[in-house]
Amino acid sequence: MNRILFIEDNKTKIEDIKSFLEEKYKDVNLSVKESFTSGLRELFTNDYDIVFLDMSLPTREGSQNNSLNSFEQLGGHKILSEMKRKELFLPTIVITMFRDFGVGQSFMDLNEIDDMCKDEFKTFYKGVVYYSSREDSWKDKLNNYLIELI
Amino acid sequence: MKRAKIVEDLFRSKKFYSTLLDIKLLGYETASKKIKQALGHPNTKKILYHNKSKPKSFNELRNTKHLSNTGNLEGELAWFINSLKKYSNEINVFLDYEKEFEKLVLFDKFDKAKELVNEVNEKICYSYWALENLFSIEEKLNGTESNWSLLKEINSNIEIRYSLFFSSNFSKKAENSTTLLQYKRELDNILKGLDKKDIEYILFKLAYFYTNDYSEYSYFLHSENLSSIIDKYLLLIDILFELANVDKYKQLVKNVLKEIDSYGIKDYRLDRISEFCGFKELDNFDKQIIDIFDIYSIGDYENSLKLSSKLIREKANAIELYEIYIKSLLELDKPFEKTNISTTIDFVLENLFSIFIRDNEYYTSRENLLKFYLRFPKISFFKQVLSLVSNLTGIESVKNIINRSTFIYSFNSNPSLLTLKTSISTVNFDKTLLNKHISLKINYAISINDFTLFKEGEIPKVKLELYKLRANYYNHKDESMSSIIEFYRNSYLNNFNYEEVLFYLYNAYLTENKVTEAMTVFVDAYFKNKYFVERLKKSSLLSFIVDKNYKIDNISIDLPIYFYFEDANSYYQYTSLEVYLDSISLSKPSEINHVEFEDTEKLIFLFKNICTVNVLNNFYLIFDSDASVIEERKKILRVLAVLDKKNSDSYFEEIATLSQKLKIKEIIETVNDGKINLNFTRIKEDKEYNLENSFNRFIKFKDFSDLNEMSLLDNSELVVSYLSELKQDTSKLQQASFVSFKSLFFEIVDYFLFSKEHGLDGDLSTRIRHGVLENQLRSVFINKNLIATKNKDNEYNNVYYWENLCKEKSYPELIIGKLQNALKDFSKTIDEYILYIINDYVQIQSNRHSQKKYGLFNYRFTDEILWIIYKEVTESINNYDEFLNFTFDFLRAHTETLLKGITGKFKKSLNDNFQEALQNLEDVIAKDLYLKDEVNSEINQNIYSTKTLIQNELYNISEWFKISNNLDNSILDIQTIIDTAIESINLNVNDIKPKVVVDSEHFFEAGFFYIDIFKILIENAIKHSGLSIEDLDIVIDAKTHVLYIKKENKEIPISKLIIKVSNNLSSEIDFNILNNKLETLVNSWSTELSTVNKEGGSGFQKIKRILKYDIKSLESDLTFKMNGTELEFSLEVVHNIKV
Repeated sequence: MNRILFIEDNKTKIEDIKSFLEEKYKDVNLSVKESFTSGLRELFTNDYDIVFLDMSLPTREGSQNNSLNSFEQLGGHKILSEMKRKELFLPTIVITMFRDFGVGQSFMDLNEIDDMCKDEFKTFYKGVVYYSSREDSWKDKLNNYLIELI
Repeated sequence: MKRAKIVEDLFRSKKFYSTLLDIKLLGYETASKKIKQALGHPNTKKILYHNKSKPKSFNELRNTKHLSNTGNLEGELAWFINSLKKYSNEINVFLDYEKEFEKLVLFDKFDKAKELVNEVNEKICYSYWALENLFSIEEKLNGTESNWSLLKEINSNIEIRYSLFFSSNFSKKAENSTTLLQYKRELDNILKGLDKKDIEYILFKLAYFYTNDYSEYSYFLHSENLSSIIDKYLLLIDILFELANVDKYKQLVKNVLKEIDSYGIKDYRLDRISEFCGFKELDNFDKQIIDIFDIYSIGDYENSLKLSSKLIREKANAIELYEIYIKSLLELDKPFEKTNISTTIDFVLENLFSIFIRDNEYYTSRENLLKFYLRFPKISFFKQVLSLVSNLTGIESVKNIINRSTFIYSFNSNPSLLTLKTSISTVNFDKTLLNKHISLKINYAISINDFTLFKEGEIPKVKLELYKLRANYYNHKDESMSSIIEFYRNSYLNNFNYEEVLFYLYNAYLTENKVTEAMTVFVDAYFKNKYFVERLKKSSLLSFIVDKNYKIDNISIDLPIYFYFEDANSYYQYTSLEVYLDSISLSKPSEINHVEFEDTEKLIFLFKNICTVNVLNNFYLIFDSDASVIEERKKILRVLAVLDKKNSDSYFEEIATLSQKLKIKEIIETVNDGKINLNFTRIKEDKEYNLENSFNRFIKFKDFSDLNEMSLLDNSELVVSYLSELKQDTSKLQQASFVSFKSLFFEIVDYFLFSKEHGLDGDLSTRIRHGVLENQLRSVFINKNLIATKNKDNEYNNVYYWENLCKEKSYPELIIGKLQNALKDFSKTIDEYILYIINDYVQIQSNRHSQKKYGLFNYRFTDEILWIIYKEVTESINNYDEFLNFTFDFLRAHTETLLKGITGKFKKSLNDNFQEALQNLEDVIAKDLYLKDEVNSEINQNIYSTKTLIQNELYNISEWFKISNNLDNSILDIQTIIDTAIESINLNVNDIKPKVVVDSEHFFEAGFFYIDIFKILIENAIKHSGLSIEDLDIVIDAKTHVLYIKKENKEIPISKLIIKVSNNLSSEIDFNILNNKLETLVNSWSTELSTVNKEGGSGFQKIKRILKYDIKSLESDLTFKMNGTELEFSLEVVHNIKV
C-alpha cells in the first residue's frame, strides 16, 4: 500500500485527485492536510511514500481569513526546501491551479517555478502538474509521474 | 570622377531611405566607408547632418526626422560618428567651454556658469546639456521656485514632447528636496510598461546609476541621432566607455577612437579611454599631483594634507586630490577641516569624509553626493565623484563599470589604473618613472604582486602590509590569510583602513570556504559599525550555506543574524534560527538562557528582529496554532523588556497589539467570510514607500504654480506620446498643481492596489481568481452531472453518467449524441462565463492600469472626482499623516462601495446569467430531445435543483467580497489596554494584581496612549496608598457609554469612557495632607492648561497632555474621593467614535 500525503486546501481539487486515484490506483492511501504548517508537521511525523503538493497554501488550517500571516504564496517551495534540509527525499509532485506566482516584487510563471524546483530539488522533485477542474489533461500528466513511482 | 556604387544605387533607388538604411546594417568599417561615399548624394548630407544638428532655440531641439533604427550597433555607431565629422571645430570649442563650466560650478560661480551656458547656446547651439545644467544652476542660484519659473518659461516655448518630458525631469531632479528614492519611484512609475530599450535609454540619460545593466547601446545611438551635436558627442563618450569595458567591443572602440582622432577632436576623455584599453601608454601624469601622492605614500601626512588642500584650488577637477586630502586627515586622526576654497568643494569633501570614516552621516552623505551627481551628470568631476562613492559604498557590484569611470573622466592619467591590470588589457607606461615616483611604484608593485622593490622603511610598515593585502586581492591570491587576520585584529587601524582589511578578510574567508569565519567577521563588523558591512552585502554566502544544507562548523548566534542582514525571507530566517537552536539543543528561542548569555547585544538583536511572529510561524513542529506563536513572541518580548529596558515601552506596545490581534481574529473569524484585506497599516509602515517628501513638494509646488498660473502635462502621458513620436496627442494641459496632485494620488492608489507585498490585487489573485472561484462554481454543475471536462485536444468529453444511463435505457445513438452535444454546449457556455468572471470581472482597473476595462474593482477616477479630492486635500489637510489618513479613508470608503456593488452583482446579474443558461439547457432538452421518461425527469430535476444551488453558491461567494481586517494595529480594546498596563508595571514591581471590571468590547483608536494613562493611575495608587504591594487592593473599573450630540442638525455619536481606579490606604498616612495634595493636583487639571504642553510635571498632567494632544479627546475631567481608608480616582474622557 502506497501512502501519499496531499498538502492542499482546495476541496474540489482534493476530491478530483481522490477520485482519480480511486479509479486508477486502488492500492493507494491518500491523506490530506490543508495547510503549510499542518502539512509539514504531518510530513515529518508520519511515514509516506509520495507527496503531492500545492504551491500556494494557507499558513494554518482554517486560516484563509484573518490569520496573522495567512497565506504562503510559495508555501510548496518552502516545503520542498524543508524536505531537502531535513533530508526527507520523498518523490514529490507539485499540483497547482496557478499559472504564475508573486515572488516579492516580481512574478514567476509555472515553467520558471518548475525549472527552479528541478534545479534545487533534483533528487526528489518529480515535476509539476497544472490542474484545472474544466480540463482533464492533468490526469494524464499525473498518471505519467505515478506510473514511475507506484 | 566615377561615382561610388552606393551613390549610383541611391540615385537609382525608388526607396532611397531603405537603401541608406541598409548601410547601417553593415559592420563598422564598411558602413563608415559607405556613409562617406554616400555623401555624394545630396539627400544623404541632409539626413546625416540634419538641419537641427545645431539648434537655434530649445524648441528646435529634435524638431526633425531621422532614419529608422536597425538595432545593429556597429552600423548605428558608424552613422553616429560620421554625423559629427562636419562639426569637429564646434565640438572642440564646446570642449573648452565645458572645462570652464566645470570649474565655475566647482567654485560656486553659478551666475557665470549660467552666462557660459547661454554663450554656448548662442555661439555653438542649443542642447539638452544646456537645458539640464540651466535647471540645476537656477536651483542653486535662486532656489526651487526659480527652477519652476524656468520650467514654465521653457515649456511655454517648446512643443516637442521629448523636450517637454526631459525638461520636466531636469527640473524635478534639480530640486533640492527631491531625494534619490523619490526620484527613482517617480521614474519607476513613468517607465512602468515601457520596452526594455526605452527604459534603458531614459535611465541612461536621466539616472545612470539606477541600474547597471545597460545593453541597448545601438538604440541609444539611434535615439540620440536627432539631438544636437553637443548631446550627441557627450553620449558618444559615455557609450565608448561602456563598450571599452567589454572585450568583444575593444576593436570597435579602437576604430572609433581612430576615426574621431582623424576629425581633429581633442578631448582628454578619448586619451583616457585609449589608456584604459591599453591602446596607448599612461603618459599624461600630472607631476604636481604625483608628487603629493609620493608625499602621502612615505607617510608625511601633514604635508600631503597641506599640499593637497592647496592644489585642489588649482586642479579642482582632480578627485584623487580630494581622496588624498581626506585620507591624510584620517591618518592624522583629525576631524574634518574645511578648505574654504568653495562651498561646493567643501561640500564634496565633507560628505566624502563621512563615507571614508563611516560615521553616522554615512547614508546622508552618500545621498548628498549621488544627488549632486544627479543634478550635474554631464560634468566629469561629478562622474568621478559617482565612481568614488560607488567604490566606497558598493552601490555597483556586478559590472564594475561605474567603479572604473574615474579613470576616464579625469584630465590626467591615473596611476591606480595599474592595479586594474589583471582584469583589463595590459596598461603600458614608462618604467623609468618608477624610480622617480614612489606612488607609481606602489601601484606597480600591487599590480604585479611583488614588494621586493621596496627598501626597508621606504614606506610606512602598516601601509606596506596593507598594499600587500590589496595586491593579494587584485591578484586573486589568498596565501596571506594570517597577515590579514593579524591586521584585522590591529586596534590602531583607522575606520577607513579597517574597513578595507575587513573587506579582504571577508573575501579571503569566502575564497577558502571558511563560512563560519566569514559570517562572524560580518556580524562582528556590523555590531562595531553598521556601515562597515556595506560593501560586503552582495555575497553568495547565504546560498552557499543553504546549498551545504547548513552543514557548517561552529554554528553560533551569528548564523541567524547573518541571514537577517542578508535580507533572507522569513523561511530562511527560520531555518537559520532553527539550526542555531538545534546546535545548542533547544527547540524554541524563549528557551535561551538570557541571564547567562555572553553577548547580550547580539541576543537582543536576535530576539527583537529575528524571533518575530512571521519567523516563529514557521516552527511547524513546535507551534500548532496562532495562539502558541503569539505566546512565544510575548515571552520573548517580556525578556526583551528586561534586557533592553530603555525600549521596554515599545515591547509592551507590541504585546498589546499581539493580544489584540488574536482577539480580533477570533471575533471576526466567526462572523466574516471576507477575503479582502486592506493593508493600510503595513503601507504606512513601509519606510521604502514613504511619500512624505513628495507630499511636501506637492504643497510647495501647488502654492507656486497656482500663483504663477503654470500648466503641465503628466509625465507618464508625455513619455508615451514622445515614444510614439506623436507631435500632438489628445492630453490637455492642466493646472500644474492638479497634475502634480494626481501623480501623487495615483502613486498611493497603485501601491494600495498593486504592491506585491500589500496590494489588493495579490489577495484577489491568490484567494479568489486562481482556481478557487472556478472550482466553487463548477462543482455545483459537476455534482449534478450537467457539465463535462475537456480532453487534451481541448474538446469536451461526454458526460458519462447520462451516456451510460441512456445506453442502459437503450436510447438511439442519435438521441444520445444530441443530449451530449447539448451538455457540451452548456459546458462551454458555463466555462466561458466563469472564465469571463475571473479574467474580466474580478479584476482591478485604475487610472494607470486601465487594461481590464470591465474590472469590477474600478479605481479609475474621473478628473471631476479627483478635483473634489484635490480641493479637499489642499483646503483642509495640513500634513502628510493627515493626507495619508484622508486618502486611506477615501480608498476604504470607495472599496466598501465597490464591494457592495460586487456583492449585488454576484447575487443578481451573474445569477441571472447562470439561470438563463440553465433555462436554455432545459429548453433544448425539452424541445429537441423528446425524452419522456425517467432520464428526462432526472435531468430536469438536476437542472431545477442546480438553479437553486448556483444561486446559493453565488450568495456564499458574494460574502467573500467583504473587508476582512477592518481594524488596524493602533486600535485596542479596554481589557487589552489594562492588561498591558499591569504587565508593564509588573516589569519593575512584581505581582500587582488589580481587580479589573470592564463592561464591553469597546475598541479605542490610538489605544497605546491609554496604556500610559492606566499605568499612571495604577502607579499613583501604589504611590499614595502607603501600603506594601501584598496589602494593596486595587480595583479598576472601566465603562463606556455612547452619547449623542447635535451638530449641524445631525445626531453625532460620541463615546464617554469612565475609568475608576480605587485602592485601600494605610491607616498610618495623614489623610488631611494627602487630601490637600490631591485636591491641588486635581484642581490644576481644569485650570492649569499652560503646563499641559510641557514635558515633565505630575502624572496627572501627563494624562492631560496625552488626552489633549495624542488622543485628541473632546473633553475630560478628573475627580477623586477619599472615603475612610479608600481612595478613588475617576477619569471621564469624551471623544469621537471612529470605530
